[in-house]
Amino acid sequence: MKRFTWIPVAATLLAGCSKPSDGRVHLRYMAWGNVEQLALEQRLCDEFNKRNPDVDVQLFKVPQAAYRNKMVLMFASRTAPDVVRVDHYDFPQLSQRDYFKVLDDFIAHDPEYKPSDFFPLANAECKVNGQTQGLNVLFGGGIMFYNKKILKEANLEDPYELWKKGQWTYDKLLEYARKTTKYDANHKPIQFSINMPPAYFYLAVVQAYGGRFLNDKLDKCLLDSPQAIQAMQYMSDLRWKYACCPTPAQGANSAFSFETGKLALEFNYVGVSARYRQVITHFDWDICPMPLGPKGDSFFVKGNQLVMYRETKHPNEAWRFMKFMTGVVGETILYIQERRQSPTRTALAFSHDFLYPKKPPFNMEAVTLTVKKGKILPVGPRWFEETTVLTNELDNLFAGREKDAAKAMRQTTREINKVLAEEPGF
Amino acid sequence: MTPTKKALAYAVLIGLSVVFLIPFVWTVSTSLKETQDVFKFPPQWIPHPAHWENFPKAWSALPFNRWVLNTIFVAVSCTIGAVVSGSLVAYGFSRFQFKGRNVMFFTMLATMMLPSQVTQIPTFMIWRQLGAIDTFYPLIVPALFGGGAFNIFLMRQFFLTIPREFDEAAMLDGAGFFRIWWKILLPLSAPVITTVAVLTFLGQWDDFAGPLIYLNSPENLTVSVGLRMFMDSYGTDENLLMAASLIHIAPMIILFFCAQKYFMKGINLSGLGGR
Amino acid sequence: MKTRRRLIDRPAFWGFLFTTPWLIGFLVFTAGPMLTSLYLSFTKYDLNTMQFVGTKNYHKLLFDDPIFLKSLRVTVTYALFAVPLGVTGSLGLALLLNLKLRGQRFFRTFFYLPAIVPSVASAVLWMWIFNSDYGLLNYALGIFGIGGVEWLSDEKYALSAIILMSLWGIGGSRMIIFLAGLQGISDTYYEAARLDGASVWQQFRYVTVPQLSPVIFFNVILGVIGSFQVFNSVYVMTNGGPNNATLTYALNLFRNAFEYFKFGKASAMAWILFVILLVITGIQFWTSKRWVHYEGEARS
Repeated sequence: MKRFTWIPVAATLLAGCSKPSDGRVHLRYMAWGNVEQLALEQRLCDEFNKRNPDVDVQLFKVPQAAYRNKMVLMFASRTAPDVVRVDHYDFPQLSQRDYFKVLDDFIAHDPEYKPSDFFPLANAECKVNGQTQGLNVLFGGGIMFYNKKILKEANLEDPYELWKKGQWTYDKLLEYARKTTKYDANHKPIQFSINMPPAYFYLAVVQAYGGRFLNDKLDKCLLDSPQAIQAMQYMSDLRWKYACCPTPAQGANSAFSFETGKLALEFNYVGVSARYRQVITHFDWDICPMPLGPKGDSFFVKGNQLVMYRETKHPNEAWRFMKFMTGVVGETILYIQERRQSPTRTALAFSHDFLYPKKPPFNMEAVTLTVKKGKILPVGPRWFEETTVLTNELDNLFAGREKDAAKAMRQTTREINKVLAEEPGF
Repeated sequence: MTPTKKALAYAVLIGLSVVFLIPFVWTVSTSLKETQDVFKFPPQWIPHPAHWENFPKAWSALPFNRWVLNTIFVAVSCTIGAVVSGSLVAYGFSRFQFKGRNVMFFTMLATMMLPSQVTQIPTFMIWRQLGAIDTFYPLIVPALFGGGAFNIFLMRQFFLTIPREFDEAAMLDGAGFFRIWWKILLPLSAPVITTVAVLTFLGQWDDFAGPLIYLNSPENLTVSVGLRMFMDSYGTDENLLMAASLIHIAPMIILFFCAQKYFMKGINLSGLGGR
Repeated sequence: MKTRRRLIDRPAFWGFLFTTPWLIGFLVFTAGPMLTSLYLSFTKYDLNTMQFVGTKNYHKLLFDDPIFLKSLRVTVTYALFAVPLGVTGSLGLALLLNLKLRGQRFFRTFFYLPAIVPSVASAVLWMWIFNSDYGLLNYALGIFGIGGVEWLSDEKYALSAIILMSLWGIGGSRMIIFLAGLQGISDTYYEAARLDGASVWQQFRYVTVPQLSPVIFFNVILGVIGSFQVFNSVYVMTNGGPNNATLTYALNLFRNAFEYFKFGKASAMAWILFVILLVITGIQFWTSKRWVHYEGEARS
């Protein structure tokens, strides 16, 4: 008997320690993305490995949907990779748990790394209680994609030109939406104009109408103000009054997406353009800023933090990798060539190569504007709790169960304030 | 039975078989289509031409070969562990009298009714403490302790049907208890052992929550979690998704066909059916 | 020395020894964790800090958590449909196969095949079948002139879809067990019933069902317990949506534990589930005296 139970145990032990020993330092790096974006990450890892033959960075691919859970679980179970890209939505909360190594020592002793090269806002985002716990990557805001072919067919002017004239407003967007939504004789949709602003683009719409999500102290929700209600009603009407947005059920079908050419406009991040450049072959497209609202613009900005796991066994090599990712070479590939977001280095963000690329999208100023003028999202340690409730409650409005934005927003604000009033963790 | 009744019965049987098998046919059909044909309406059942390359395409899109190896490793280890330890435990319950035996046996039966959620979190905490997250230990070790109440129960019932005279004869020949277990009971229990082995293997191949919680590194995943990951990355390529699913299903069907005879016998003879 | 030899010679010792793997496993992986999770249910714990909070978790869950109550409703609804339909379905199939028509082995295999499909693959298949525009189900309904439905994205139908999918597996092990049971019913009972002039339905009701009642009972109990733990299908297909229409108890628990890291709350949920199942099983055992018919068992 003993002979048998021995085998699986021994084999398991062997399986557990399958570490190759080739003299290189092995780093694990975790990031999210769609297929094309992950390929880009791999390219960066390969580029770094080429330039640093004594290090081997391995990319941990985790699908976007499961990323947050896996990441938190790995930190909590002390099996996190050496370098992790943490969404800024989670950064304040996780930094409180001492998962990340403080980087100030590295910064102070490394002449190559100069904080002044980067946007001050980007640096500030990574500081917790005065200590730098991450380097900013994928820093920027949301923009809009538009299908030039559809707009031309509907005799509509280029939105970016309108923007330059200061006429690209939400009213104009509604007009565009109504003119580009098409149904056939059986009232089955052939083409939609726009997607529903995803999280947290809709907060930017609220902002453009003069509302805010939270107060300055981040302990009270302000989404029941008349301005916020107006913004939410606008979005709800897009879908339910004017039928310009695919409903959740229709949107679940991949048939009505920007890349299939069945959506005229799309709220999204410029980072998907890598995929669009690959898969969109039958129409011309470009980007423009989100529209101007009655009380201001919709520019919002947020970054992500590249962090070093506190218990990493190779802090120096990890620092080299992180430096590379935020260095001139890394940022050139990531942002200038592939347009993953705006560069965090100011010199690159305003460089000619970034603003005047040779491949679409060409209106890169739309991206730079989000960084120049964007308001930061009010992300605090309780962001995840607040937004879980927010998403849940807003679903009532966006799924059409509640068509009156005033009612929906009052309920939403009530629920969020309830959660905020309690101690975290229940 | 009257001929009309017979015909009706056959009709129902055939009709049901069709209903049960159509999802398979639908899946195979979709897996052989090209991406844009997948969304054609009305759907064509037999794609022309059949894109067999969807299978290697799906296979290589993500590290399926690594995942399959992982899953086989976990499943085989669990199966061996469950069969060996489970039969030992069943031996103890069926052939011996000792104090507390009945209490233990009924407690074991009662655990079949325990929802897994009650032990899930602390078990996770134990493994985390041992630093065994992202390894296969959490998935394999529990199987080494009997392999589950159901398996022990099946084997115990079966052992009860093996006449004690065999044991006694062996003892007269000087065999110890281990020898009796190894040389008498096990060989005679081929049907139930096959049943337990097949059920355990199937269960591990299918296991999703366990790998979901415990496995993190992409190279350590099992096929079920990997397939789910495939859905996230390639959700819009239904044909590849179907192909990947078929790759996940195929070994189970093959296993089932090979073990069918013993498997059915095993459930029958273990007395679960009743008399 | 002498005592040791005697101990080794005692069969009882060996019997106990052989069962120790189970005993150790039970203590380490079942009893221990159960007590721990009971303790955790009175705390607030997120893998970092632990704080004792008394019955606050339970209080909040039972009186101030609409999502929890929704998940309970969803799960009970699921059980109420899936278990009776599943058990009668399996029994029905077994009765059909018991007619011993030709080709029985083929039919049995066809019925069993869906049950061995791994649940994730099954979920993927059925997501495609339930697709509102290109899926097989709406296509088939369309052939009969019935309009299609948005199975997984409409909260009125999503749960029905999950239940429907669970019925694909009624030809599995449960059916085999029923079949074996049916084959074990001695013909003399049926003959006696027929001599008394019993119709086919009466034979079923007064011979088959009582004879099979222990097996039916066993399957119903396990069926209910299993239905309260539905996780894989909803996690993969709908992630609990739309609007929590398919948020089963197990999924809600998993989320609170491994996505929100509210381990105290999740442990409380686990114990509430345990108590619910104990009560339901207890009721089932109590009412079983009325209809479950044991035939003078002489099991060792």
